[in-house]
Amino acid sequence: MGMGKRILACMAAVLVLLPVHAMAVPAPADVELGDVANDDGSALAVSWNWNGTPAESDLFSFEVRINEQLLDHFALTERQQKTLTDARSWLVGQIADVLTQRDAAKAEMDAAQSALDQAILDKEPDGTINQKRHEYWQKYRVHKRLDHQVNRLHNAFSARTYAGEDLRLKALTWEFLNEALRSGKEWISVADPAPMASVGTRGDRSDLFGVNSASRADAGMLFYTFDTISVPNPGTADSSDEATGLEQFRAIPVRLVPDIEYQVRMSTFGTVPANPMFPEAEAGGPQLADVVQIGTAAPIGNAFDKSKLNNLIFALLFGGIILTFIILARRNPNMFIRRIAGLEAVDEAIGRATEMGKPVMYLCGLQSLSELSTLAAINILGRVAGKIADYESDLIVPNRDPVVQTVAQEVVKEGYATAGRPDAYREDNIFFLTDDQFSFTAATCGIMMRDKPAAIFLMGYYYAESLLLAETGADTGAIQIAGTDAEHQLPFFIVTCDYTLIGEELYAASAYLSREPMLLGSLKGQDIAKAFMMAIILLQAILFIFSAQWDVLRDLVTPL
Amino acid sequence: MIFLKRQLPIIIAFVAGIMMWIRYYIPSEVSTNLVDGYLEWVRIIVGFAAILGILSLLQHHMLKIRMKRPGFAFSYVTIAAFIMMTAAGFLPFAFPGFAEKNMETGSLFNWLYEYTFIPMQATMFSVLAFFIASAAFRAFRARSMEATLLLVAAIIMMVGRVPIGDLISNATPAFMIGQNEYHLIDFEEWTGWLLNVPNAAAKRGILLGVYLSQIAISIRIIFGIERTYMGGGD
Repeated sequence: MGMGKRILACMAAVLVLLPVHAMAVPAPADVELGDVANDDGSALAVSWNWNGTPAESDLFSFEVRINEQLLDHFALTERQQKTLTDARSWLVGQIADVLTQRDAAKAEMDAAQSALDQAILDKEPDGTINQKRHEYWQKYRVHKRLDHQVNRLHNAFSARTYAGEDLRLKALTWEFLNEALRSGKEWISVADPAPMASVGTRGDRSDLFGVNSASRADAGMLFYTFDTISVPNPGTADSSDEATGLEQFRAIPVRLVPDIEYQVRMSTFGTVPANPMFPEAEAGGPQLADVVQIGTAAPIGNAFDKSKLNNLIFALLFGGIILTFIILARRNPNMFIRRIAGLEAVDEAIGRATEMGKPVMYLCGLQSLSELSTLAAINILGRVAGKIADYESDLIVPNRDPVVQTVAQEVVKEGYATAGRPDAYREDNIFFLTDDQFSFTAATCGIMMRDKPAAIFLMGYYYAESLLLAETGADTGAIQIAGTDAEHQLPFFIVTCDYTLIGEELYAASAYLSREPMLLGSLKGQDIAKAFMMAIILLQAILFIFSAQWDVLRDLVTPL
Repeated sequence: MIFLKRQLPIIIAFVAGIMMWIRYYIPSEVSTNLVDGYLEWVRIIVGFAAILGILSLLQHHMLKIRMKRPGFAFSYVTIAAFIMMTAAGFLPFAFPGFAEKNMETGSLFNWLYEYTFIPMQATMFSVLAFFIASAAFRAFRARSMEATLLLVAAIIMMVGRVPIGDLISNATPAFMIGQNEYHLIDFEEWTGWLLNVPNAAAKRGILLGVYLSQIAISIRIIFGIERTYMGGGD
């Protein structure tokens, strides 16, 4: 389903050979066109082997021949053409004066630098050298300011022509800027209308896509370069495929028009070796070495991503198991769930806070509400808030995200109301601090040191600040319960906190604390799925030990 | 009211959850646009929520000052810094002594950011080194079997990651097993084993549990079984 036409490479169809470089660049062999299972019908895939070992600096580009349909697809609308023309006029009008001033400032800066260098060489008195250095820095700052203005205009130009994912407009913008940079006169060339003369005119197709091979030997054959790869160092230790020169099946992320046949080719580029006779020659730049016609193919859209079939099967299976156990839990509410020490200690921690007359601090992590770990932390907060209301303690919840703060307020309010203590709820105790990581950490640590909470809950996802928070909490003598799925931060919490919920325990906490049968049922279902996964891993490990391979197992857990 | 507060959010969560799940398997442009649209909505909501955040921040500190709670002097600093940075960011002209206005490079805002905010941020991050030392001191005391194992593993890792580890390894006698040469004490080999075998195994076990739990909590939320995050309790 959805398979593009596959045609083996015509290895003999070498159009251009530059003898010096062709020797250095290995030709791709067994080139095949294929379908990209997870595309929307606008991508092709190419797979190949290297016929030899590519050098580190070799480049390979894939191109499709520009056809009428592609031109139509990428043709600029009148509005886009106007946007581009207006932006260009605006830039030309704005930048001319700045460029003149910047060039003058640069000349002055260079002169000041020469004067300073000369003064140092002549061993003039320190006072004179300092004065010249001061003059140089003044000129330097003026030049930097003007330079910055030029960059700002450049960015403003790009912003004016920004057209989302419109590749063609992007390409034209880039080409225009590149052309300006390449001219050797830097930004002065922007005032020259020549590069933009053919904008929007489909007659001059060599300019339409910004990047094409028109400037190369086959000027008559207009190809659109849709992907370029550079060969990684074949000697790199961490990639056996690259080390052997084998490139894996490669999806090409480019928007082509579906259902239209394209002529696809592959160009290889080598690096020009430095010539001792002509050291000023263009050594180091990529030069076209070889062009291989791969064949023709039409990208076809897929209604279903086949590479995710195993994922779908597993999701349905797992979802089914969980829902089954939820139904079973309604019939048999007394399901056994193993004891989680960290959650058993929640009552102890809150009770301690009540006895000491000190508040409880609760953090929901540093991520936004769209992350599941934050949602899990919020769920636990709801349960903990109810208990705190029962114990008549104070609860402080500093937040890094205003959305999380708003939701946390609602959840705590509801927790207090459910516990029959709506009067004890204080909205200003659940507040927003800042969205900056370390500012948040500093502020929270400050609150810990000043308010000395008797119990601190660190739930959700944390980054480098985990230890700063937990260690400060430990210094205050608070009983600390942490829960995170950030595996890199777990050691820090384990070391500094009294109890730590490790990974999945964070997600199980809400169900554990509520003891609601339906939630507990989902935990049971989760355990069954985990046992299933463990069985697969064990079986695969045994097969591996006996040098056997069962592809079904591998396909079950890796993208197809 | 109950419908708006309880049922409607559950319906939205169900429809959005199922829709986003299905679209994961459909590689069409419509499916991509759906995600883009969703992300735009998120950005819009976050934009409005930022106003709530600012109001909450100011309200909290004003109250702290009014009630003269412990450390209320810091609230003055916070409010002053907030006003100063906001004013500097919106300044319609270049502040005397600065080349640019607003938030441009060379403006007062940029200067404040670069020379006050970034150094303070770096300071906080740097403190981490001392906290690690303090936490390590506490963790590495060999009071139990587990703590002793932790201590030994930590020593191997620390020595194996510094040049002296190589020097020690190379100074010990070497022997061949098959075609590979080993040293009697080989910190590089040991650190690699520690990271790639027990550490990776434990980490993958934790991650497997986390991913399965995430699927489970997603199902609970999509089907409205878990509703605590809505503030609705049970």
